[in-house]
Amino acid sequence: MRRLTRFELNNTLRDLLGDDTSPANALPPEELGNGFGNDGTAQSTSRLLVEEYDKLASAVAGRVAADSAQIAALAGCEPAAQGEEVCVRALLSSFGTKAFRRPLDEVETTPYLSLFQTLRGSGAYEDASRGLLRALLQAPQFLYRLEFQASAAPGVTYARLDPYETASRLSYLLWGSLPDAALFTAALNNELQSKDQVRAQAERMLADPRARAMVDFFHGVLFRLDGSERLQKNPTDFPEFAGVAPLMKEETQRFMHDVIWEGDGTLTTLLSGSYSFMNAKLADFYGLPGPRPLGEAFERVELDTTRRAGLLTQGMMMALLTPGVHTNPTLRGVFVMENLLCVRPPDPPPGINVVPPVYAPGLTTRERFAIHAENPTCAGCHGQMDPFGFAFENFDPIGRWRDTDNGKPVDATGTILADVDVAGAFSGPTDLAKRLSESPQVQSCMIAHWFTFAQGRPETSADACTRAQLDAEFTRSGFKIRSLLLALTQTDAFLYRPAGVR
Amino acid sequence: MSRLYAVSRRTLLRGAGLSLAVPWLDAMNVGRAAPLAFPKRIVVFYTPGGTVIESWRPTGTETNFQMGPILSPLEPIKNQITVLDGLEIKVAREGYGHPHTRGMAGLLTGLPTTMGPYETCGGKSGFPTGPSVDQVIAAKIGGATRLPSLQVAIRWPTMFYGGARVSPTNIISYDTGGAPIPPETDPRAVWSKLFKDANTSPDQLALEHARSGAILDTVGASYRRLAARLPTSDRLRLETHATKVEEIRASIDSVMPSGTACRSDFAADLEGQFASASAVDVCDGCVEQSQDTLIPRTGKIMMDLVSAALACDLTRVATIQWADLAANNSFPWLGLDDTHHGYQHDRGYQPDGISKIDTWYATQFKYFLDQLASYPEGAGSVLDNTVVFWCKEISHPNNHTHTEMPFVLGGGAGGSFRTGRWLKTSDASNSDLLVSFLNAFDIQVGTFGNPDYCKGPLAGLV
Repeated sequence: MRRLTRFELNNTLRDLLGDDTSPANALPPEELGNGFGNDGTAQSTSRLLVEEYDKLASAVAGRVAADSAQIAALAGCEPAAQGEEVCVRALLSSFGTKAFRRPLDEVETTPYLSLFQTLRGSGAYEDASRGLLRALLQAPQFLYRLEFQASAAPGVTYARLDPYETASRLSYLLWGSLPDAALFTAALNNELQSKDQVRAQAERMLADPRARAMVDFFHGVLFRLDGSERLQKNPTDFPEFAGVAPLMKEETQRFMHDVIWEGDGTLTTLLSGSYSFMNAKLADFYGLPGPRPLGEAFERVELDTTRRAGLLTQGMMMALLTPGVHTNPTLRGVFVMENLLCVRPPDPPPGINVVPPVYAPGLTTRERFAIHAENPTCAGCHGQMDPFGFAFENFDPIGRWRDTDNGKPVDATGTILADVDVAGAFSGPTDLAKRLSESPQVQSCMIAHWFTFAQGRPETSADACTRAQLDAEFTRSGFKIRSLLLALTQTDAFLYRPAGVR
Repeated sequence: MSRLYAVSRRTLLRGAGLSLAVPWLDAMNVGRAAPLAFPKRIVVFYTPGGTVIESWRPTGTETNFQMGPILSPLEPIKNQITVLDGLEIKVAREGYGHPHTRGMAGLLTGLPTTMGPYETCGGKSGFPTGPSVDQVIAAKIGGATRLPSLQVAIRWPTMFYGGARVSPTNIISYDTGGAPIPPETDPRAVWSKLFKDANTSPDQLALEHARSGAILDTVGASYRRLAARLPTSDRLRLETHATKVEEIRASIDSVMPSGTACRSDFAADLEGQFASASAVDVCDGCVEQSQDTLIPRTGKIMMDLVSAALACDLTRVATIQWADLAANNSFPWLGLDDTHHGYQHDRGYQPDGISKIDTWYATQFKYFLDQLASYPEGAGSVLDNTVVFWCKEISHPNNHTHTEMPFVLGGGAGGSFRTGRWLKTSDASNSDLLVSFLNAFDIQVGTFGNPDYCKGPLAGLV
């Protein structure tokens, strides 16, 4: 059982009430859990969170109820003409169905009717409506994604989700929001039963701008791009970085959008594409050779692929993966291992003091990090992690190309020693990027990330059939991300749930 | 800053039934008897990172000592201070993740980190699996006040990895179910929690409370009803949610206790920007000095709010977290342009920078104690009836050690602890101190957290 994340709650309130103020940003942050915040088992419930839900519901309800026409519109009912009880029932039926993502039954409706009457006893119709909305907007059916309607046949451990549950799975996967009118209609008419019906809805939904926002959110978490436009670097060391982060973020966003929605749509291009998007200021910052016909606007730029190719070699990624003032191959390496290859490096041995090799003038980062290979305590693990980072030593802490480090030539060659399918010698950043972009292990890892995001839980051995289906479809499509998204909606994991013990 | 008026406003309020801003409150006590004795309180005052122990440590003897340079701001009030020297966060010998994280997790829980998904820049870890000492105390005494406890943070979170998410790198408080408690970072939200009723007439207040009560009753019941239909794990989650709703419901009717005047008018202070208005404003790897310049202002108002909450007996348990352990915030007003973590070791350990930072934190600690002391209570002050625990999660900034922890207590918790001392300990752990805290609040336990690292109450403290 998943609780709506802040991302989902903002989208849901926007689509439900037209509230585009992103009120959920005021909630305390989710536990990290799987990174997406949608991992039900990691979501704890603090008193602060519950207080904030009440505040949020109260504020949103207050904005709605400030306008009696809006309440009437939500209910599709005029209390003066049709009577208050009729209109409250109408509100619970129309607005309630959307908010709860399924029609309310009589058991659910009754307490809200009596709450309305209690509130109406001491206030105006609008006040009572506001209070009713405040209760609905923190109800379990609103804040949580509940899936318990269908019951499995005896002896069967999995149950097919009912049509409304299926509609919500689709809308929260592809839009991070509640179902739209077409999905509700399909659910009502039981038209989400076959895989083809589900697929047709998914195809329709992927063409909607909300799908882009969802993919942005996914990549924002996976590649740590959330808020990266506010990345700052120490101004004494890097005065030239002032104002650059928003441009780098724009570059990365445009590149991703182009690859996924306009271009060939493949993971391969995402990780090794030979082009990018820049404006004059960003190209100047990178020191791209002229003459360039660039102005204020971002335009497509073909890259010198001996230096840059694909997402990892973009300034934003390199700057993000470099906290502090010196490059840190371990941190860059761990990122590649964990996020692209799904390999978790071993934890440091107990009691070890984890500090980066000490900075020394006249030494390159690579020379400083040589201690990791020399000290047998470090070598076992750092021998696996650091080489991935060495490949990116041509990028300084703010993402510029460099040929020298502390006055000495940069060595960005090396050998991947980790037990991964890209193991072996590499000749520099774009060589490693290319190998990662074609790596079956990276392809498999991306499937695992998308599965985790889609299901709000990691894969288990019980998902073997689902996994085989995703592998086959991703491969068949030539590793198109949109095809993977469609494939996710066709799996047993997506369409069924464990028939849990009551 | 508002002046303190030693004037009762009760008559005024009652007579006028007014809703204008009330600078001082001792009114609105309806149906509550004045407490027979003054309440005891506990505050945790957390600042991140290790310190320069040789500059931190006093010189002299236990009762006749001079503060070292870092603690020198406390020299004028040292009769209210206990410098706790030599404790170890022993439980951090165990657990997963970086020493910073193991220290943070064990600091108030006495428990190790577990295996988990949270990046600590030294392997991954999970949360500790039990309550922190402040929450155990809150469970015992918190029912008497509007808020069982109050958690605030000033510049939070600043961690690179995982961004603005709750993680063992940024949490010090865990509730009695072991769930992490994120702090409030917006002073306006804190004020609203504490004092929003101050500007409302009693009649209006009664009406609003009745309405909120009816709404929350409905909400709580909806969770209970639905929980009964769900499988066990889901049912437990909704029941937890229901319990929190019911707790909040129960606290609606609590009113301002009488007896102590406290400041409630913060209108002018609450305008403008604060250091962490919203957790979504934090990005991975950001060093936002533009936000960092707001730290002193934000810290001051948070300390003012917490001290007012304690003085007004709106809560008796609070935590003030200046940052998280990543401490990727800077101190531009001190002429330091690198981050706090930077001075710890990013460019090599820089003791001068760390000393400046911790001396500044000492002035903040003194400011907070001064606020508590400014509220009279009986023959003394609120400070006399409070213990404020200034703590950190590691001792040496570069070596990440947990021995020789630089801990300081302010106030004696109503005579529970003897102050005015430099207490040197050996082979004692923070868990021993946590037991002493519990005992001071009449929770008679002999051990807390992992018993392997706890020998009972800290010798010499009482």
